[in-house]
Amino acid sequence: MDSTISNIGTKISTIFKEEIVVSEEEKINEFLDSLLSLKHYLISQTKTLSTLDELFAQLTWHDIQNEEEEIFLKQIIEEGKAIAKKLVPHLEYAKQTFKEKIYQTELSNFDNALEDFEDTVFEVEEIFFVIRKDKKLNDLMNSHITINSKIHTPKQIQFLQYMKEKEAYMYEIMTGNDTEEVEKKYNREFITPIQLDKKGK
Amino acid sequence: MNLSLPYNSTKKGNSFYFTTDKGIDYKVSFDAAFQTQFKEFQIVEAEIIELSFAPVNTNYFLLDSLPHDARIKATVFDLVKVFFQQNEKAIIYNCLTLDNKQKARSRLFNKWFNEANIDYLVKFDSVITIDTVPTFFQSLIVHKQNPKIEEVKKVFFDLSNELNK
Repeated sequence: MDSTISNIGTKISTIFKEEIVVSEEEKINEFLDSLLSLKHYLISQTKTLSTLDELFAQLTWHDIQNEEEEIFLKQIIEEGKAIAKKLVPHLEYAKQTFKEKIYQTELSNFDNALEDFEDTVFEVEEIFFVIRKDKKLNDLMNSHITINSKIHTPKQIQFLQYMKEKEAYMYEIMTGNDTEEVEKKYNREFITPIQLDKKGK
Repeated sequence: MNLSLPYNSTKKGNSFYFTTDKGIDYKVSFDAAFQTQFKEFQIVEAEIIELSFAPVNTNYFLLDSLPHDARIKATVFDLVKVFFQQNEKAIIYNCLTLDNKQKARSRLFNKWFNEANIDYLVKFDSVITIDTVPTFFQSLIVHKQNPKIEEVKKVFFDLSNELNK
């Protein structure tokens, strides 16, 4: 069983290098010259895309263990996106060439597999780099400051909201997002001692 | 090495930044958002500015492993001194509760304040209890010669009392 992101990622990387055929237009033309080869190409690529799709889905069973794994995962996702992007024109070219006359089932299967693969790569990226990261932040934010309008007074609610926002801001700047945009997002009104002096007491 | 020597801080935007010997960047800010949010408590126009300082652009989950560095305290309180040299406002410091270590932060801030030994400043502390749990540890720092010191203290403790109801 593939039990780590590294193991699954290595398998994906090998398939990218050895089995996915992202050929030049000339090579595609060669494929199209031979109907048999084309059929074989469509079937094999569909199968490979399905395998990749399953492997990408398996990635989400695991958590990123270290920075090296995170970098590797990002690389795999980028390669997956690039391969899908390169395969789309091939599919469109084949569709136009045969104009619904031959190999419609194979073309349709390839089309569906490619679409599924693109969706899965996008979802994997979202799960690892948006949803899980937000969840970590949300867990952090919500674990100790909970607001309940039934038991807290309006002043307490105002204060708790202020502290929640302030702590969310502090978390962002501490973890790599120290920007003016973040200051604005959290309504920070920083003033320097000199500016304070000019404004007067 | 002189451990009480502040790091050189530079102003960027409206905040101050300094880098420790270990290469950690820190941000120090004086934030008026607090007094804007709670202006109804500013009954005597006692302006209270919130002091914030924290390492930036680091791994939050590794913060505990950052080495102890006395020069951070020296730098923060050097900027606090500049603040009080230039105006008569008060400073409030809210201990972060993100990792539930607010009490430890409060103890450390108290230690830093005492060690900084700035004879013209005085500090008051309060704890805001939410749902029976002491949650927010606040400190107020005021210049002893501040003519509004009593009013500022009242604002600080009124807020605390209101929140502790």
